[in-house]
Amino acid sequence: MIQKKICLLGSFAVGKTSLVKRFIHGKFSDKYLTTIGVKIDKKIVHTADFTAKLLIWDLAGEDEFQKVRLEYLRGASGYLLVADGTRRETLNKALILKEGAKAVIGKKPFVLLLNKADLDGKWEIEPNLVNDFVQKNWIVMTTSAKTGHGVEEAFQILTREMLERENN
Amino acid sequence: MKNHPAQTCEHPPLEVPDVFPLEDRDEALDELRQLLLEPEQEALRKLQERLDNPKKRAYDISRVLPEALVLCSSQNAALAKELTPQMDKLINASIGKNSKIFIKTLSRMIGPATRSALSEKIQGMNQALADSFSLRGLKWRWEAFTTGKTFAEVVMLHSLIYRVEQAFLIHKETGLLLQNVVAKDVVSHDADLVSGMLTAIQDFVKDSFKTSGEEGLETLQVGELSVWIEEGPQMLLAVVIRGQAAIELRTVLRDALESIYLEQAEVLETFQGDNSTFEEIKPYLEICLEARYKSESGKRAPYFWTLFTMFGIAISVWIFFTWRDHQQWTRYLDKLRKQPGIVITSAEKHRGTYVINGLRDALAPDPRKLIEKADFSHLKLIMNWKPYYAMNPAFILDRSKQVLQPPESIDLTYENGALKAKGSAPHQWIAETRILARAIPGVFKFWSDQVIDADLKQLNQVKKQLEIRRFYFKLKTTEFSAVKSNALPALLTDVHNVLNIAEILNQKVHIQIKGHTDSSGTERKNSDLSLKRAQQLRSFLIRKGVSPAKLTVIGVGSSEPQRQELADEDKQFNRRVTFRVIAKPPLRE
Ligand SMILES: Nc1nc2c(ncn2[C@@H]2O[C@H](COP(=O)(O)OP(=O)(O)OP(=O)(O)O)[C@@H](O)[C@H]2O)c(=O)[nH]1
Ligand SMILES: [Mg+2]
Repeated sequence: MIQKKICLLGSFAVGKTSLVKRFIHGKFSDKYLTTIGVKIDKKIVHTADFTAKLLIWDLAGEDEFQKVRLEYLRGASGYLLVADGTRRETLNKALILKEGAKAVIGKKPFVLLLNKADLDGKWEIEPNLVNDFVQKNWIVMTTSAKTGHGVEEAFQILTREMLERENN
Repeated sequence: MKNHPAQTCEHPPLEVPDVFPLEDRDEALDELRQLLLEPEQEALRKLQERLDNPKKRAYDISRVLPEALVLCSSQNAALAKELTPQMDKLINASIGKNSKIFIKTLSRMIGPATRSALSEKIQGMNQALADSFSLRGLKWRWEAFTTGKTFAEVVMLHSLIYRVEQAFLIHKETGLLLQNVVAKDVVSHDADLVSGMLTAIQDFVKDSFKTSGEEGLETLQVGELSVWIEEGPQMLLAVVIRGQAAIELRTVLRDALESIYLEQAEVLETFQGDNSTFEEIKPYLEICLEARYKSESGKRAPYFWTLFTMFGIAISVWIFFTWRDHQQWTRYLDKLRKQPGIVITSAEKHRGTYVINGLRDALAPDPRKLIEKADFSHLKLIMNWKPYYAMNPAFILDRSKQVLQPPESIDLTYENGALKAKGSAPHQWIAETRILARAIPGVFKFWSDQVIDADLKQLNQVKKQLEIRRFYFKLKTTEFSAVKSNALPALLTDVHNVLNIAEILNQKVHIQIKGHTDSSGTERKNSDLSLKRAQQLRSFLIRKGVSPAKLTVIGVGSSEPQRQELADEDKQFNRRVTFRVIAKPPLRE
């Protein structure tokens, strides 16, 4: 079976670990336990056209104490760039990290996730900003690790992007 | 000793004493006693001394002990019964204090024997072990009971030196698992995740400690398990080992990696996450699991007593070798420390491997060559030398010689930061050396004022030679008068030499060919003729390959006679062509 390494990249507490947990175990918790270093999980993704084994590297987010260790990206075929929709600055950080990722693994498929979509009232990201990204041909999705909204799709879309890119 | 035989002979016969007074009799008796008992007394005294002096006593016992032991153990088992508990205690204490050494010793001396004994006669062994190491036996039984393993398995696990339980072949860049194998009866965890995590740790270590080159983590220790990681081209091979593996396992791992790489190089080149082709290389990984069986050779089925004696021998042999190794090791370190150009930053023994780290000047002798003949051949010695420049004068001079490669005619000396050259050398060497010398570590000044430029000297010589050449002509013609057959080739050689050496010296020169006539004829005709004479030689040189740009001509008619024309004979010396080397480019061709 084809295997792919992917990474989750983003500021601290944007919900990377929660997204992985939702995707793999279908669970969610309000507790925040910051990831230290990296945590690796795997899941097999099936769709009508393909099956692939994903090895998901959940990297520790960047905060004032530690920088994201981009060397963990090495060998990744794609990544999920995660921002917290209720914290505008996490989006800026995500854009910086995207550049960092490019320096390590070159141009690779990615999906930008604006997480915590369930927290409607606190949303800080204006729709026209998202439009700009779409203009650039980026794939942008809103997700919620809490409700599960968009999570499965996010992983599937990334997988499809990676496999298509490889076949072309 | 007061009495000696010469004296006693002079005494009266023995029957006489009755008639002597009492004191005399006592004296006589004493003498008699001495006479009679002398040899016995001597023997007794010697015995006493032997008993009193612990050294002598030990020496005596040592001479009979081997036979005594043989006798005892062959005739009855009482000694064994008596000694066993004591020895158990001793061994246990020793193990407790220094278990690593014990394990290592065992693995070296009786490892193979134990293992074959175990596989062939595990039942008989069980009995012996259970009886003799009673506490241990019970402990193992307990472990067997609680873990659900058979007793034989538990004994196996504890008695074997090591066992490779799992092997993971991992794609280095992505951390994806290419293949894995697991030994029988081993519960394995998710191999995909293990392989990812190992890669992550490897990345972490490499990045955190910025190790030079590619080396990353080689071993991980987790309780009684250790993980050995071997890096190959594009792949990592990680094996999980229970117990203390022998260093030879590394070779097995390396071989496996190499073989796999040879088969899968193409797949690896374009690896996109499809590991299906790695099914075929499983046998190589299985070899890694079986590695521990390879070194066996002993076929004997030893029973406990034999093993026990071997323990003893092994330990003494081991102590001796350790001591000797230690001596040689310190001697060797001393030697290295004294060696100029070598600086030891750390030297340590680690699990039987000697590791020396340090700095070494490329000009210092090979540290391995300093090992005395047989000394270290049986030891594992790893040396990591970082290059550095030693700053003592001899080294700086050697280094300068190596970099500058002076010709034999040059004598180099070094003193207080200054390198001095004396002698003669080609121009190019001097020019290069002026630049190079100061880049040599330890050289701060370079004196070349006593160096003679050999090329410059030569240029002057060939220049002179060319300039005294003359070609003479017949009256009113451009025909040579009397010319030697080799004059033209010789001219060509001179011209070549001048131009070549000038080029080496980076000097721009050209050769002026000057025509002359004698004073007969008109001024105009003479000037014309003289130019023609010069041109004739120029064409010759050009035909022979000399660059036209380097040759200019001039005709001066009769204006520069070399001889006053007093008689007609004098005229023939003025009808000539001469040459001059001019040190600047010609204005125009
Ligand atoms: N409401 C809501 N909370 C979320 C969502 N996703 C994550 N959280 C919460 O946000 C906090 C941080 O989530 P984590 O998944 O640990 O964040 P992380 O990105 O892994 O953080 P680091 O490991 O520190 O980089 C936790 O308290 C989560 O419960 C979401 O979709 N909705
Ligand atoms: Mg996390």
